Amino acid sequence: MLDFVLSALTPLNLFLAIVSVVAGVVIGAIPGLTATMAIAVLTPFTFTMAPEAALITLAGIYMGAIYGGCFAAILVNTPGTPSSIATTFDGFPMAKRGQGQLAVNIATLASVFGGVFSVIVLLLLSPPLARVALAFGPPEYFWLAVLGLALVASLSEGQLLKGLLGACLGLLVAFVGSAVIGGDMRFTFDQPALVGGVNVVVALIGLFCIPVVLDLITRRDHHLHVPEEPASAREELGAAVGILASQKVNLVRSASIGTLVGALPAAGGAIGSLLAYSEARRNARNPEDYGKGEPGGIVASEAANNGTVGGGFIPTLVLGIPGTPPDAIILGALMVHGVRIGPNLFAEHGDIVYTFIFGLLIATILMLPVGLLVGRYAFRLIANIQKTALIPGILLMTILGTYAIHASFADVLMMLSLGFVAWVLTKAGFAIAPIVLGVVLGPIAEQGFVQSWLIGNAAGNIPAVFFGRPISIGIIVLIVLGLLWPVYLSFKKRKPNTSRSVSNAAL
Amino acid sequence: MQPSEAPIQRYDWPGALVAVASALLALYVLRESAGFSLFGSVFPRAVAFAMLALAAALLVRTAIRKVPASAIRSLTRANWRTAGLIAVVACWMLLVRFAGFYPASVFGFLAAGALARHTPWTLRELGIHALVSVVTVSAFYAFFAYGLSVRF
Repeated sequence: MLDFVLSALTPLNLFLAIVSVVAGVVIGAIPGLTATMAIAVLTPFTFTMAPEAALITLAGIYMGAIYGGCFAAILVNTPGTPSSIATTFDGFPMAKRGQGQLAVNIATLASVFGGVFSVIVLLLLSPPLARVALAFGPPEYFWLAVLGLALVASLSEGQLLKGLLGACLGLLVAFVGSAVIGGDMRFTFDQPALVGGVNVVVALIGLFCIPVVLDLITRRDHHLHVPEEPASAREELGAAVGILASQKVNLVRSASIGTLVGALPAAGGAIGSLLAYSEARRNARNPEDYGKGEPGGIVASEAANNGTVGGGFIPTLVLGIPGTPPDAIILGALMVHGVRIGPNLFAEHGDIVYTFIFGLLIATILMLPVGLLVGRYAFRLIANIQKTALIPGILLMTILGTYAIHASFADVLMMLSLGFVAWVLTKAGFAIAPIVLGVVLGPIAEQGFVQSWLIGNAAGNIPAVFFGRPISIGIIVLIVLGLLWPVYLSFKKRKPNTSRSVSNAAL
Repeated sequence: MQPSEAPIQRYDWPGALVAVASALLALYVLRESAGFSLFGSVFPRAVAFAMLALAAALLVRTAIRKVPASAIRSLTRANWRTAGLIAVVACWMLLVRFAGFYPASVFGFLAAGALARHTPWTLRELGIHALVSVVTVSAFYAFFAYGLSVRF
């Protein structure tokens, strides 16, 4: 094993890890530029490298990009990647009240912990976890997507109905284009640009960025509050370490959730981080503070989303089933380097695989100094930048970032239109996160629903397929708990006054 | 001791309007999906029925319960700057068609920045803003066009 560690620690590999982490962080921080895009663009450059060096580079970019998403989420309220949606809930409120640096430090430490945790699990527990992933069939994926939607809707405090309706609106957006099963052209209005559907990242950018910009322009005050006497870097780091120490259980639970969800092919970081966030809130002593700038929310989201990175490699390396789109690209890169994926991978190509895993570990640890350094300057830059540059800067990044996805001008128009609709919906008290989750989880939910329905139809018992499998039942219980939780919280809050219209208020 | 002043309560009309729009959208989905195959229509129809139920529940809730006025963020809070920014972005998009991405983006950056300022401009500040606009747009354009090989 020491040989693999040493082979990952060569000066060239270390240099590549640092460069790739920095590149990943920068790319992930720009709305529109996702981990998938970063890896896809840079993969061809790694074909001439030695397999270990190539894979370490790709792993560094992946880890860095997933982590980099937290910068835009915290400082501009725009998740750089879908995995960072839950980070906006508490990160941006903290940044607004002048604690942006602390929020970034907490996110960095939690991300590093989540990443290291998941890589250790990948190293030690890959085969049994891969078997768990195989136990998930179409009904379980359907319920998992519903769980994600239910959890995010239940986070819209006092607005559960609006949250659920928002999730349905997001699902409608996901229906546009070719059907995932059957291939029907749906809601395309005979426009060729809509045949491919609405890209998730296009929707993400529009729904989150445009309302922020339209609100920012009306306000005279600064975008973020800048403390009159800012704490030193050491004080901020000490405070972040203290907060993480007080959130030990949350940290470990969130990293575990992220790793487990990451191991489920196609479930992705968005579900993982939302599930972890919801659990953190449910178990917190102060659940009412979540969504208003509670550090525990950032800890949960970031530990979980970086946990999905290592988790995603479990089915990728053991079964050859990529857990996420970036995993699929890395899988392709492995094949280019002559590595045959499958159950015998660890035995046949142990040298490359273990070096890759240790490289992933090194890249994750390198995120700590890189993140703390970049974070400090990023917060200062965003906090002190004039609105005359900030507002057009956000607009420019969103437009260029959206265009870059498919070099499509139609995507830009789609992004702006969705953003305008989202702005109107926010004025009517609708939260953006459930709508985005509807778009993200729509294809997973539909595929699971239709496949389960087909299996049930063939077996002559549709309800048994949806409601009769043990894992499905477990997820359904979580959904019910998730939806009843806000009602219970509201009941607890109003108990001293009157119990009349209690459940009504929660809805 | 003075009794604490109760917050002003209002009906959630914006929420009700969105509920009505959602119900109409759901009806449209039901009508359109009648022409799809069984595989393509089963999930959209399920979601459309869920939307109808949720919209009805939201309307009932709006009718029987008022909410604190502060919870309703009326569109009237938007001002001429919001409308101006929407117009600037529309012109930006139109200009892309006729002048290309780079010049349109310089215009968009300049105009959006000019709208964002709530105090009068001096000539010097305007010059600096123009310079910042050209430099920023050039840097991003170069990064995307040459660094990421995006074709404009």
